[in-house]
Amino acid sequence: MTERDFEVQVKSLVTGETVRFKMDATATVKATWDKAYEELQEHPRQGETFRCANGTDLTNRLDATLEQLRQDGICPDAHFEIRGPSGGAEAGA
Amino acid sequence: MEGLRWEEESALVTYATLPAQRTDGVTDSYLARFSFVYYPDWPPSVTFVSPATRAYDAAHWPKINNSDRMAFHPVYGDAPAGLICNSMFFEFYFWGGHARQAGQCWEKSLHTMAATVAELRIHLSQLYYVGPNR
Repeated sequence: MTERDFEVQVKSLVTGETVRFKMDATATVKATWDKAYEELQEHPRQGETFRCANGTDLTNRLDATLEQLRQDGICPDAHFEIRGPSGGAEAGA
Repeated sequence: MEGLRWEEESALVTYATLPAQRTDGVTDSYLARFSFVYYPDWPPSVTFVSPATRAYDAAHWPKINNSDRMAFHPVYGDAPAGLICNSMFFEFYFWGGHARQAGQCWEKSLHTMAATVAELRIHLSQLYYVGPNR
């Protein structure tokens, strides 16, 4: 593992499974998400989102690299989650 | 599920103590009863109970706002123990005639109770949690 590598952790909130793997700092968030599916042995499902472990939605940062995320202070520990879709009534404001 | 306290009553019933954080930083605690009678064909049945009696009690439910996919109904029609209106919960499918949208429903070959717990934890965060339903 070099200084440019990230030790990534991804938890599937659909199945509860967690995987850990290495990614290069130049890898994009999308590539990390794809790799997570591979490691989890899951397939992408419509409506799923890739997020920081604190819930921050990364949908608008899929082309950013892991290093860019770190520089922006987003998911600095490289812990992510895959959140599945669900449905239900709205809780009013 | 890591980070939560679980107490098993039987092979089919377990309790989880769930923290709920208000926007002002105050943390409340709720006791949820998970029943697995129809699991994994259907999601767990979940209600909130009194910590003292371990019986369903509408006064011990949390209140949330601003969610587009979950609502807590401490009292709901003929449902005997309230209704958590979300597709990762058993009651969603059997009370109130909720619409089932493709891709959002429980899939027994895919989902586990982790998905149910995740929805609870997300909705008891500062993003949605308001306070006790009293």
